[in-house]
Amino acid sequence: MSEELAIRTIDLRVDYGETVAVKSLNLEVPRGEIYGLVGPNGAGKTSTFRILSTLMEPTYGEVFLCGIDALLYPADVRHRLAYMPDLAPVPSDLRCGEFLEMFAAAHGLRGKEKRDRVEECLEIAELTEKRNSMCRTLSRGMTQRLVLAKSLLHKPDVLILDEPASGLDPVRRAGLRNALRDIAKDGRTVIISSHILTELADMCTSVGLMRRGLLVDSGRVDDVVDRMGQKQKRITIRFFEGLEGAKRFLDAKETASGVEIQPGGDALQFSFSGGNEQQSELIAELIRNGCKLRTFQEQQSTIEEIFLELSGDDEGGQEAE
Amino acid sequence: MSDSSEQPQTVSSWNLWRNPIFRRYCKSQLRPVSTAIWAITVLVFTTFCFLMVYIGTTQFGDSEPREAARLAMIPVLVIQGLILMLIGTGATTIGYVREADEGITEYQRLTPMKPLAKVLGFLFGLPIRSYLLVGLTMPFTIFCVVKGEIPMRSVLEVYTMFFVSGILYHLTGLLAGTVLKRRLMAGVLSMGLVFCINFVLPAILRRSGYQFLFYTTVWPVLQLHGSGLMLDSVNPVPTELKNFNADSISVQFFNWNIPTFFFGLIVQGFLIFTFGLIIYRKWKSERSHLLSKNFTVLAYSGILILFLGTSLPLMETGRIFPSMSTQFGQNYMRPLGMQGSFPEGWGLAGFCGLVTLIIANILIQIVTPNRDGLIKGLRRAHKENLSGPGFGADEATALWHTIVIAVLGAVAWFWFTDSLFDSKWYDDHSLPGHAFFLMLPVFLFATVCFVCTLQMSGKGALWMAMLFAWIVPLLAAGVLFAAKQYVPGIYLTSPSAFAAFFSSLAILLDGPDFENLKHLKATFWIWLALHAFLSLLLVAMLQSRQSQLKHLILGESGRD
Repeated sequence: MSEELAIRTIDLRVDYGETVAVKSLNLEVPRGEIYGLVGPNGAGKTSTFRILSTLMEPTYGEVFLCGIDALLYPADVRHRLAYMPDLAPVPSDLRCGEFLEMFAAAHGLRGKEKRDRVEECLEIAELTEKRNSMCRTLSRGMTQRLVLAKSLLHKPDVLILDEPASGLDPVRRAGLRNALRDIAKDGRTVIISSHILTELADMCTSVGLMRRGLLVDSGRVDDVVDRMGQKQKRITIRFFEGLEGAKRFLDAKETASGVEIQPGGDALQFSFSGGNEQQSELIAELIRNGCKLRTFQEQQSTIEEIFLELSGDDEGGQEAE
Repeated sequence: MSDSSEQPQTVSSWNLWRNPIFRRYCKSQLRPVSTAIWAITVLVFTTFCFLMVYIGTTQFGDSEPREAARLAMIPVLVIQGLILMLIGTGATTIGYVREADEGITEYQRLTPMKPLAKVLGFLFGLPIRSYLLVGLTMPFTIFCVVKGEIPMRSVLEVYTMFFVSGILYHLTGLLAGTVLKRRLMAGVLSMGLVFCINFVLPAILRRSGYQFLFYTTVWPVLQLHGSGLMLDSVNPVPTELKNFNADSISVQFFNWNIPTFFFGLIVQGFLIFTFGLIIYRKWKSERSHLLSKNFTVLAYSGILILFLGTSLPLMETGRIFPSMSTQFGQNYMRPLGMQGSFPEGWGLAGFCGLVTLIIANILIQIVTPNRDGLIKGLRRAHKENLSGPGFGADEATALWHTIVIAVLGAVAWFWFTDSLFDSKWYDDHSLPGHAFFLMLPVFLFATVCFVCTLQMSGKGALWMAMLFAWIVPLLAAGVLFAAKQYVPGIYLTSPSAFAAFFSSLAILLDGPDFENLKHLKATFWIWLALHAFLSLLLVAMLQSRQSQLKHLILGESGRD
């Protein structure tokens, strides 16, 4: 097992009865990456995160964190990871400082080292002044930051964050982004899921796209957007004349979908799923059919549009998360 | 990136003071204001009760301070018992469920602490306020011990048993919190269980074979030392009290006499180990069954050994019979001529068999996988090129362990019934040599039908099947008996496994003939034929479902 990989899963599968939540997941995340896992609800992200964090056993498959078999040695792996769930909860009967101290002690920190680390993490989360406040009195955003502080206590090698930015205002989100970048700079790995995809694209060095339990694509953010965008481009053609005929022609084409006349009535917009050759052939055919083209604009999908495309495909066919 | 050698050392499981979970509850449960309110309340009531008894008996009862101090020990013990057992158990359960409810349990799961350290942290941390409050009442105890000259051995035994019972009930609370996810339900259930274990179950089961359940409480040790103290202070000693004290000193277990205190420790230790193991397993893996299949067979054997060991010695003295042991029996059953009579023995043997079956089915229910579990096990086995999950795995069928449990239960039931009818009370009756071979199918078919239905169709379907096959016929028969329609009523009981425990004995025991005996005997043969057929059918269906699931998995991997 390569030590360069912080996370590696081999043929991972999770079932809930007859529903397949994760199917043949082969995930490889190098150390020092901020890896975003993207997918609609029911894609299998949370199940994957729970398995990576040793909270759940897969039906089968292998999981390695920092080269350690997480299914065989969960206690060893727990020293090296931190998991922050969606809607991160905090105990209602403890003060913020007590909460952090308990988990610092649970990770083996003692005495001055423990106190210093708790202060350090409170500072990172900008919660130093809330040290003696009861956890239940914190706002949603503060709660998220407190749990993030808890996750950083033992300086984990791998940070697994499920929707960490939800509940944070834009300023705090920028703070979180910077904090995660600093963590990654130290050689630590962050795997994150979020629905705020522009943030994710901005924050992550690489992403994985999940749909119906399968990893559809994975790699550097630009590469994935490029690949997925190539598969599904948005094309706008403005015509001098022949728009109606062009619409009929495109409606009949398998590679074109969602053909719409644009406001103004002189342009068509559609999704194109063919390759470059097919694209130039399509334009030539339009011209041969007597359409007079004014402008041609190719628009590659953003990660947000890819996500929407994935979600749209899943409508009515959602599976367990 | 750090390697394993750099991992910080987590706290040792037994070092409670450094256990982060224990310390966390020391902080949250012992906040000064709420602790002060609790402490003042407890001290006010304890002082009141103590003074009422102590001053009352010296002023109005003309007792010596020594006797008054001994009597005043009783309300102190009651208050301590309430705090430790009832309030402590409630706090343990509610706190444990709240932790899961709020989602903090997941954080705890992810810490590298050992599962045992986590169990101990919760077990001693959650009821910490109860321990403190009991500690605050200890000056009253010390006064009573010193002033009342109570022997130190009595004090140590009573308080050791208090502490051990407290641990057992707090573990019961953790268990309720593990099984039930709703705070209120879990709290009510655990406190209800403590009440039942102390007051209801012993009354029902104590003199009906399951005598050992009485030793899950502090009562035997309290009785022993309470009567001992009174013997010491009353002069002349009434004969009943003398006998009572002699009975309380030791427990007859098979042919051994075990001191009551130690026997209580053995019984409670057995339950503490079992409950602790359940919680430990759940901390190790959230989705695992409460008990492993192999341990369940061992636990059932342990229960049967305790049952037989404590019930068999009671037979010769006749104290196994309700009519000869309890006040209810003395007042109501003896005047009806039910003393060691044939119907009483018959009823007792049937009842013991029935309770043994119910315990077996509770344990079987724990280890039976649901459909999800079965599918998961088959997928995993298929991936590893195995024919199925391992024999003892949670995902494996529970059928084979059920058969072992059924055989053990049948052996215990046969042993009990045979010993009962071999005793001096039944010179005219005895079980025939072939009895075991008729008692075994009763146990076997009842448990096999239970496990097959549960494994194939789930708990809801099992309950409906049991309701309509085993319970409704009995209720309908009751209505017919009320209408004096005895013969149809008797035949209506024939599908019920509960009735089979009694009707089978009608065949085996050569009892006095009565009008409808032949009909009662006939119902057993009907039950046997019906359940033999059902068992075979259900086992065949179970195997067929298992192959269907295997084909489903194979089909899936083909598509992959």
